Parts: sequence; C-alpha cells; structure tokens
Amino acid sequence: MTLGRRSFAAGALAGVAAAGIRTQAVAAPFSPVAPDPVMLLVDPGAPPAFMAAAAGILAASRRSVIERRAGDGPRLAESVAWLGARPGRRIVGLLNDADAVLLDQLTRDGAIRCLSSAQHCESAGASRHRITALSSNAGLARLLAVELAAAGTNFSVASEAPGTPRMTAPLPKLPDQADPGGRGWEDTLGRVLAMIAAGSWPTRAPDVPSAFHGRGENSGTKTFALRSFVFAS
Amino acid sequence: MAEKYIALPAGVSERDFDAAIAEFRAALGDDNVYTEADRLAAYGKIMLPVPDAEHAPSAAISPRSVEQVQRCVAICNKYRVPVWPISTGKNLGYGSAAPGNRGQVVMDLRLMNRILEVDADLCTALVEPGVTYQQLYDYIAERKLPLWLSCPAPSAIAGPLGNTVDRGVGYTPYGEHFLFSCGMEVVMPTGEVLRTGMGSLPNSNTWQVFKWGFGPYLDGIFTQSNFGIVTKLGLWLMPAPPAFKSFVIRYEDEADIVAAVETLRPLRMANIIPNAVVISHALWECGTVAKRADYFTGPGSITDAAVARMARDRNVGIWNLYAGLYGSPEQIEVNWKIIQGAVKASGRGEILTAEQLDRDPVFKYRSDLMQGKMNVKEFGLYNWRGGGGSCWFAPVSQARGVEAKKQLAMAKTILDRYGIDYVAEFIVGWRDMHHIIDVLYDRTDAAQTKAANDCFTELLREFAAEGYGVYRANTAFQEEVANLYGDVKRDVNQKIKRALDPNGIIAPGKSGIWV
Repeated sequence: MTLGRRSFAAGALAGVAAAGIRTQAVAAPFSPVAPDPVMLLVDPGAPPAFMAAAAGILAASRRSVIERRAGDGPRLAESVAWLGARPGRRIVGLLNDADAVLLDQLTRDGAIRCLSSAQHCESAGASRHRITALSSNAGLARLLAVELAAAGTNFSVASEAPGTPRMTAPLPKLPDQADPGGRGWEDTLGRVLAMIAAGSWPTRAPDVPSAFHGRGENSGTKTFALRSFVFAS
Repeated sequence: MAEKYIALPAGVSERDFDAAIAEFRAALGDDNVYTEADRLAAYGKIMLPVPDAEHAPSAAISPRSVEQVQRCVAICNKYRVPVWPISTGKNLGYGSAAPGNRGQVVMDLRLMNRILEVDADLCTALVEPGVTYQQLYDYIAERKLPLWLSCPAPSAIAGPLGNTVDRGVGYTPYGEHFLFSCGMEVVMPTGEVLRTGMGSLPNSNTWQVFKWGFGPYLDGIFTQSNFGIVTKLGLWLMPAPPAFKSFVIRYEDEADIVAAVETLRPLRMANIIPNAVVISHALWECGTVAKRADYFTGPGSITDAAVARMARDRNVGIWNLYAGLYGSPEQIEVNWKIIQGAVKASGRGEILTAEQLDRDPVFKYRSDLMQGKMNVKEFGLYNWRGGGGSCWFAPVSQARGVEAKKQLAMAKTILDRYGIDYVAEFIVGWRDMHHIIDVLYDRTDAAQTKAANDCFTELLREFAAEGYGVYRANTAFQEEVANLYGDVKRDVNQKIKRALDPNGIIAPGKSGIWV
C-alpha cells in the first residue's frame, strides 16, 4: 500500500465543464464529499494516463490517494475489506476482466454502492465502450464519445440503463463551445471517475440509453479489454 | 425525472410494490432492502448474450433467518411479488446473481451464513445458503479436522448449498455434489418449513447420514427448480486420505480424445481412479493464462494451428487428463501400476506426475481442485478474449470415446460458424461425461454478442437433435432448454408448481417452470 501525490492537471476541470453536457438535474445535484482516502486500483497493463489523470483530480480535491496495482485474488479481497471498513471510502479502478469479475463478486454485500461501471475494449482497429448508466456517472458516455470523436478514431460508446432497453442514436451535434480536451479517452475516463469518487461530479438522472459511433482510423494492432468502476462504502 | 424503481415485477402495480417494499423493510430492516440502482448494479451483471434489462431486478432483500424468509414469503404471497432466491450468487456464466426474468426481487441469502454442524466421525456437515466453500474450508482447517471438501472451479467464493442445488460438480471422488448431499430444509411457498429425508422426524439424528427417509425422495425436486427456498443443506465430506497422488496424461492430437476416454472409463467404473476426472482441451489450459491476441488476430475462431503453437509454447497437451489417487500409499501404488499399464496398452498419452510438474501453475491449479483446495484461477478464462461475455454450454454424453469425438466435432463446427473458440473440457463421471464449453465473447461488440446468442441457440438445437441434452442452463436460455425436454416433463413440472406455489412467487420461470 503506497501513498502518492501528483500535481494538479491544470484545465482538467475546465475541460470537463466546457464539454457542454446537457442532462436534467435532480434535486440534490452533488453527491456527498468523500472524507476518506480514495484507492486507485489498476491493472498493471492499464494505460498510465488513466491513473495519472485520476490521481491528479484527487490531489486537486485534497483527497489522499492509495495507489494499488491489482495482482491476485487476495489483493482484491484486501482492497474490498479496506473499502468496507469505514463508510465514505471509494475505490476507483481499471482492471482486466478476470479481476473485475472477482471484484464484482466481492463487493456484492449491500453496503457497497456502485457509482460507475463500464467495459472498454479495443481490437481489430476499433475501440468499444459499454457503460452502465447510473445517476452518479451521468454524462460519462457522451463525454467519452466526444473525446474519441475529437481524436478521429473508430469507436462506439453504448450507454445502457439497468432497467430499460437500449436505443441507438446518432452522434449529436456538438455545442460550439465543446472542448474535447484532446487528452485521450483514458485520461478523460480517469478524470471523470476520480471526480465521481471525490464527489465533484454532479449526480443527475441517469443518461437515456444511447449509442454513439465514430468512423475514423485507429492505429493498427492495439488490443485490450478492461473494466472501469467506482465503488463506494 | 428519475424512475423510482429500475423495474417492476410483471403484473404488480407500483402501488402494490410500494406496499410490499414497505413491509419488507419492516420485516428485515432498511439496510437489508435495496431498490436504488447503485446498490442493485451488483445484481444485474449477467455475462449473457442478451440485454441486461431482461434480467434487471426490481429490488434485492436479504433475510437473516428462516423466520425472516417465512415473513418475506408471506409478503410475496400477499402482493404476488415474485422472488428469485440466491445463496452466494456466484452462478457465473449461468446468470450470476441476476433474476431469471426482469422485475423479480432477488432474495439474497448471503446473511444466512452459519455452519451449523460438522461431524468429523460421520464426515458430515450442515450449512446455510450463505456459507462459502472458503468459510467451510477455514472452519475445517482451524479445527484440524481430517476432512476434505469438493468444490467447483470458482471454489473460494462459491457456496456448497447453491452449487449443490444447481447440481454443480467438483473434481474429487465426491465431485457429483448432489449425490453427496444428505437432507435439506426448505421454506415452502406457503411458508411452511419442510425437512426432507430423516429430517422430518422430530429429534432425528440421522438427517445427514441417510438420504432417502421414508416415502417419495423429495430432495431432487428442490434442485434446479422453483418449488421452495432451500435454507439448510446436509453434505457428506470426504475423510482426508492418508496419501494423495495427482497426475496428468497429455495427448498430442484432438483425435486422441477417443483413446483417452476409452482408457479412462474402466478405471473410473472400477474406482481405480475415484475422482471426477477432467479432460481439458489445450485452449482451456492456456486460456486461463494466455491472451488470444498473442496467438491469433484473424477473423473467425482461432485456428487449430494457432492452438497447437500455444500448446507447445505452454508445454501442455492438446488434451490433458487430470486425475488423482486417494488412499494409503500401498493402495495408491497398486492402482498406479494398473493405470500405467492401461495407458501403455492404449499406445497414446504421456503420463506426468506432480514430482515432474510441481512448479507448473496449471498443474498445481488442477491438483489443488482435486484435493478440494480453494483458488480462483479459472477466472483467468475471462481474459482470453475479454469483453465480459461468458455462457456455459454443457451437454452430457456417454463416457465413450466415439461420443466425445462426435460432440467435439459438432461443437467445433457450430462454434466456428460464429467465430467463437472451442474452450472446453470433459468432466468424467462413472458412465457419463459433462462436456463443458465456455462460449466466450466480447459484450462491447454488438455483432459478437448477437453471434454468441445465435451460436448458443444453434448448439442447443443441434445437440438436442442428436439426443444430447444439457445438464444445466443459464437464465437466458432456460425456456428453450425446457422445451427440448418435451411437453410431458413440462406438464408434470407445472402441475407440481401449481400445487406447491399457486401464486407463482418463487423464481417463476426457473428451468422453464411457470404456474
């Protein structure tokens, strides 16, 4: 278990705010601020930009960060035990499928809430992202789509609400003031999940199920399959 | 506006559901009743090639005792709210912890997690639904009891009650789990509590030692069914043998499956090899530790040539038969000679022992399972292709080589048509084999998800046409599987269901059984 602090990435919050996300706000706009440290639980093979971006946001929000590389079952179990030991704790993560399935099983105990869950894959020149739409991560799907479109890549982003069937929708016209950030989807994902964990990402009604597609070019042979998540006690 | 509930049970108004939820909260406490999406997310992950929405729960409730289960059943009957009971909820690839149909309330029995009794002389145990194999393993180890468990591959986090009532299997001589169970306690849909077998007799001390009781043997109707909620299960535990010897027989060609099964069957039936043997295909062996993209990036299923290269790299056979010997060193020595002779006479296969493979992590994983030791290595299969999709297709065959060869060919032909890899093993009983195939696919890829669904449908249909049925079904396909077993069976199940659960509140649709 290590503690690490990263310098605040200037403009990260501004970039997110300028993306022009339009969803309907609920009466209580912000989730409670997490008073405890946030654990970053990341697969050793995950893109470094994710962890760097997440750590930067958490440092800016004055949360101490526990950085942990996923390795095996006992390490995951320890992480979940840490999460459940005190209310208010958060885990932000990006794991391979096997570890993510195991983590899902370990966190199903009623006291732990899932604030965000998504699958991210790339193969055969296209990246695909499948996000479970929750009130805590409203806007994430659209923001990832904006970032991927700005990068000119071949992608799909699907948002599925747990209770309703998926609808398809064309990529909406971006607002003029949209600022895609240009830092890559991994960075965007890390920032948003960290903001969710830190309580600075506004909660809203969950995104309407939708699918975004972009046609571009992805460089060659990258292949990955990862699950992202935020769990809260 | 955000919806109050993710989903509602079919046929239940929001007003009635509000009232039911209020009564659940009064019975169980607010902390044990969940309707919020962020708490229900864990009960909605299915891994199956259908939309999550089809298996979204309306709520989850967690009773702590039989009395609380009875109170919940009363509430369900009052408002006609259906519940989907789970024990530890680790039915991965068969539906996980999600309900069989949209809107059902998940009754999560994980808080009922007492080990009620372990008898080291009679080698029995009595457990509640929330007990995990790890918990029981630790209990036995702490007390230094000379007992071994038999567990399925997800071992540590799965539970003996849930696995047994779904008729799951393990890898020890006690691997046919339902066969080695003895006595149940069941909360009936009416709220009455039934103890099966000798448990119906007050003050009985033979509940966990004699299976049959008096009259019709009822335990079976509470497995893979929705006729009641099992709240206790008796298990037979294996006495720890004085010695154990594990080994693998590696075969070089796919065609060697015939020789492997024909060599093994007489040894199994004579109890020379007493455990549920696994004959694992190279792709399963390697799939827990390798990445598909490292060996194959082309379209379609992975080629045999790529599999052969991977097997050479990882030093495994195309088929890998794992077995164990249990007993005194003298007994093991006698049986070992018989096995060596049988393999030599077959002209195929290379035997390797623990002494030769002690550091091989794949061998160790298999050897551990054959001793009932806990691990979660099989989860590595989910990284083979990635993307979170997995559903088990598990037909049964006779323990004959030609049958295994026929099913292998059928499976590969159909899987190849849809670009799905043959990731499979045979688990060999005395006269039968469970042919376990993991249909692995990427759930972020809509085309691949559809292909997996179409593939599974064709596998069911084509295998059934040849007389091969599955031993277990996931919740997305339980209706189709039930249809394959014919109208008479469906009618009989329905008559039993109507008699026992006239309001249809326990897991409607489980195994295709409805009121």
